[in-house]
Amino acid sequence: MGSTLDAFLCSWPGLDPWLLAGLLLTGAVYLRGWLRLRQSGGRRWGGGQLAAFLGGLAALFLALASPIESFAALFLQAHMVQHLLLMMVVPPLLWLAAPLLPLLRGLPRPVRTYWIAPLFRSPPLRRLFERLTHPVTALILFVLATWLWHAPPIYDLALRSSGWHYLQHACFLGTALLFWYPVVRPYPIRPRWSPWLLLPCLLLADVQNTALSALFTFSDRPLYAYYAEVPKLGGSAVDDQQAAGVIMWVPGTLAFLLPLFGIGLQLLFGQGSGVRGQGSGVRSQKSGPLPRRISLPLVRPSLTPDPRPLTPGFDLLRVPLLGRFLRWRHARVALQVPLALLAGVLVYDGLCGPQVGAMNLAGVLPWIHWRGLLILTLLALGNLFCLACPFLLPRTLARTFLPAGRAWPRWLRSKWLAVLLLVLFLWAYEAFSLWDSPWWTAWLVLGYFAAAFVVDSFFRGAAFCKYLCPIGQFNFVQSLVSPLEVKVRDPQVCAGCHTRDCVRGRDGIPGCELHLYQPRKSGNMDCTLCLDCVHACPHDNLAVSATTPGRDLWTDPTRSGVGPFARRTDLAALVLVLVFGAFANAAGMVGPILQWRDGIEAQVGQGCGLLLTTAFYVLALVVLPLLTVGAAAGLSRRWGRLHGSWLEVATRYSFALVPLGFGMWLAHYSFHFLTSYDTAVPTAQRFALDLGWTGPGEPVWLGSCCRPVAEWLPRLEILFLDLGLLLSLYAGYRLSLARSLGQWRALKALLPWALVMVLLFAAGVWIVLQPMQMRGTLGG
Amino acid sequence: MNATTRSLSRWLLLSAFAIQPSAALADGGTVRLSQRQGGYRITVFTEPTPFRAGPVDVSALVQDARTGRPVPDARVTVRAALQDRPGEAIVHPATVEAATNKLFRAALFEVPEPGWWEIEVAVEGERGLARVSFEVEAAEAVPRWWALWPWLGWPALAVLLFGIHQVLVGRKGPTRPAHTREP
Repeated sequence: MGSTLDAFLCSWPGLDPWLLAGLLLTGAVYLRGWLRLRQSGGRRWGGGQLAAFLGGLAALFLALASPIESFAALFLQAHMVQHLLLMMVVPPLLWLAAPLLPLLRGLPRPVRTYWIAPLFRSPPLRRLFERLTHPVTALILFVLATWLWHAPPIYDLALRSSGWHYLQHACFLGTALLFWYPVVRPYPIRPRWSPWLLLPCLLLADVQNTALSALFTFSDRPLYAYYAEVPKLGGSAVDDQQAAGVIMWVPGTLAFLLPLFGIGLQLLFGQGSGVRGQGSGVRSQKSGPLPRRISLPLVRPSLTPDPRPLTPGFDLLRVPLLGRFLRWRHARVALQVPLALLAGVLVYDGLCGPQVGAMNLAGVLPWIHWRGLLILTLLALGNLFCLACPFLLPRTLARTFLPAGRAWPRWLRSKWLAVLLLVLFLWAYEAFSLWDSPWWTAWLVLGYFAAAFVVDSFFRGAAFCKYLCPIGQFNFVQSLVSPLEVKVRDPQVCAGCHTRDCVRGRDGIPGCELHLYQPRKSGNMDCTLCLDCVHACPHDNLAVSATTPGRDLWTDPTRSGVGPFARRTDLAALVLVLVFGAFANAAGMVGPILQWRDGIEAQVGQGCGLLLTTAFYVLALVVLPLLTVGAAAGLSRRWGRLHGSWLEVATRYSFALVPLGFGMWLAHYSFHFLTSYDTAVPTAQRFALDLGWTGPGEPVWLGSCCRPVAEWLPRLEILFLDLGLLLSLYAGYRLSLARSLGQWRALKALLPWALVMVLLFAAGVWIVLQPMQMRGTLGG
Repeated sequence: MNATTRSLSRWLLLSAFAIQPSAALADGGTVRLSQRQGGYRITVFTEPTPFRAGPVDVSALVQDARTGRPVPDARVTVRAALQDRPGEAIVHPATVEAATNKLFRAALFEVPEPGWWEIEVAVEGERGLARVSFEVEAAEAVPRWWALWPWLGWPALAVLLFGIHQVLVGRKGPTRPAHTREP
C-alpha cells in the first residue's frame, strides 16, 4: 500500500480557480468583518469563531480539491469521506463561526447597504428562510437529499457525469447547511420554534444515517455498478463498500448524537452546556431565524451622501512608500523621465533599426506591451499612463519659457476634434499597418512630442490633453470604470477654503490645468491623474481613493469642467467611437475578416486595400453606431415614454456602453500581451547587439513566433466581455430607472439598449473565438 | 532569457495554472475495459462521457495481475485510429504526469473527427508487453462556443438573480445620493 499512499498524497487535482477564488474571497470578507467587530469592542468575537470559519473553508477545500476528490472515482470509501466532509464537517464549522455579522461587516458598504440590506427586509425572503430553516423542514430536505443521491442509478449518474457530480455536491452541502443551522443556531438567530424539537430531529437524522450505513455495511453485493467495474487495489468492491458504510456509520452517529446530548443536557439543566446562540434559551422567542434589524450601521442604506469626514477607505496616497512618493511634488516628472528615455530609444530603433515590426523595439513595445499594460492598469487602478505621460515632459521642463497665454478657441472647446483624430488614428493604424512599420511608429511618437509641445506652448489649460490627444481620450473614457478616483477627503474643509489652490495653484505648484474643481468634480472624465491638485492643496485634503467602478455612468451631476453627460453629445460620440472601435479594431485582425478582405482584393485588384479599410472603418465607426444607437434611442424613448429629446436619450444611454467597449479592448489587448509578452527579450537583445553591447546575449527569436494560444486565454477574454456586458446592462437599467416612471417602463426603455449590448457581446465572443493575427510576432 | 524574464514567465505560467479549471472527473469517466492481459490487469477509462471528437482523456490503471498492486514502472502508449482508416493512427504516450490520480497514466489528445475509433492501449514493463483494445464511437465534436457555455452563460444567471433580487426587495428605483440629479 506504500505506493498507493504515495500516489494518494501526490494526487492533488488542478486548482479550480472558481473554487479557490470563492474560498479566498469568503475567508477575506469574514476576516475583515471579524476584525472590525473586534475593534468595535465586540467581546463576543473570539479566535474560536475565526478558527471555526477558516476550518470550515479548509474542510470544503479538502473535500473538493484534494486527493480525496481524485480517489473518489476509484474508491467508494474515499467518496464517502468526501460526502461526510460536505455534510457533517463543513456546515457545523461554518455555523459555529456565527458568520452572518462578520460577513456583512466585511462587505464593502455599498454592497451591504444597497444589495444585502433590502434582502433582510424582504418579507417573502424572510418567510422562505424561516420555513427552510425550521428543524422539521431542514431534516426532511437533508434526508431526501441523502437518500435520493444514494439511490444506485442516480449515484452512478453522478459518477459518470461531472455536471451531475457538481449538482450532487451542491445538494449535499446546501441541505446540510440548512439542517445544521437550527442545530447550531448561530448568533444572532432567534428561533420561534421550541428547542425541544431539535431532539427528535437529531435522533431521526441518526436513525436514517444508521439505516443507510447498514445497507452499505451488510450488503453482500456492490450497490453501485460503477464501483463494481473499477478495479480494486486489494480487496473487492464489496469490501470497499463495507468500509464506506462503517465510515458513514461511526462518525455520522457521533455527529448527530453529540449535539443531541449537548442540547438535551442544556435543556434539562439550563445554560452552559454548549448550546450556542441567543436562541439557545428554553423559551421560544418571537423574532424569527433572521434578525430583522441586525445593527443599524451594518445594513442601513444611506439616503443621503455619507456625512464627512469619512473614515477614509483605501487611499493610494496613504499606501506606505508609494503614497509618500506620489505626494512628492516631483513624482510626475520622476515617472515621466524613464518613459521619455524609453520613447527616445524606441524612436532611435524605429528610425535606424531593422524595418521588421517583430524585431524592432518600435514594433514591439508600443503595440504589444504598452497597449496591454495600459488597459490592464486602467482595469486594476486607473489612468496611470496620463500621470506618467512622457509626451508632456518637454513642455513641463520648458514651462518657464513657454508663454502659453492664449485660451483654446471657444469653438474648439469640445471633444469633436479629438473624435476626428481618434477615428483617423484607428483608420491609419489599419490602413498603413502602423503595427508593422517601426519607421512610421517612430514618427508617430515624435509627432506626439511635437504636437504636445507646440499646442501647450500657445494655449493654456492642458489643451492638448483635453481637446486633442487620442490616447488621453481613450484613457478618460475607459477610466470611467476604473476603481480609483481623486476625491476630496473632507468636504467641510473645502467648504471653508476660499483660496481654491487645487485649481489656481500655489507657490509655483500648478493647480488643475483641466479646471476640475475638486469639490464639484465627479468621476475620472478629463482627469489625467497628474496629482497637481494633491500637491497644491494646502490642507492635504485629497485622496486617490476607491470608487464604485462605473458609478459615473448612471449618475449625472454637473461635473466641474465637464458638465452633465446628458448635454455632452461630443463626449457621447467619443464614447461610441471607442466602443465600436474596440470591436472594429479586433475584428480587423481575425481570420474570416482577413480572408474576406483578401478575397475582394483578389477579385478587384491589389489597389483597393486602402479603399476597403476606409469603407470598413466608415461603416464600423460612423454608420453602424448612428444606426444602432439612433434606433435604440428612438425605441427606448417610445417604449419607456422617456422625457427628453431623442438626441438627449441617445447621448445619455451611449455612456452605458462604455463597460462593454472596455471589456473588448481588455480582451483584445490582453490577448496580444499575454501571448507575445516575451517578444521584448530578443528584440532588446538585438538592439543591444546593434549598439555593440554583447552582455544580454544573442537573440533567440523562437519566443517571437507562433506561440500556441493557451486554453485558458479565450476563457479569460470571454470573462472580460461578460463583466463588460453585465456592467453595461446594469448602467442601462439604472439610467432607465432614473428616467422612467416605474420599473416596468424602465425595463421597456432598457430593452432596445440591452439588445444592442447583447449583439455587441455576441460580436465580441465571435471575434474571440476566431483565429487572431499574431501581430508583432514573426508569425504575424 | 534573463532572470527578470524567467521570473515573469514563471508568474505568467502560475497565473495560467491558476486560471485553468480542473476536470471534475479527471482519470474517471467511463470504464471501457478491465481485463487481464499477460502479467497485468489493465483498466481503461475514457472522458468525456459520452465520447466525442475533440479533446479526450484516455487513462489506464495498470496492476499486477496476481497481486492487484499498481505497476509503477510500466510504459503505456495509447493508439487511436478510425476503423476505416487504420493506417492513420494517433499515437500518444500515457503518463503519470498527465494524470490527476497518480495511480493512473493518462493520455490527453485530440480526436479529430467523429466515427468509430479503435483504441489500443499498449503496456510495456517488467512483466512483458501487453495490448488491449476496444472500439468506441466518437460523437460529433461540440462547437467551440458550446465547450465554453459556462463562461458564456453565467451572465444570464447573474441577470436572473438580479431580477429576483429586484422583485424580492420590491425596489421602485435606486436610492441615489442627494447630490446626483438627472437634468
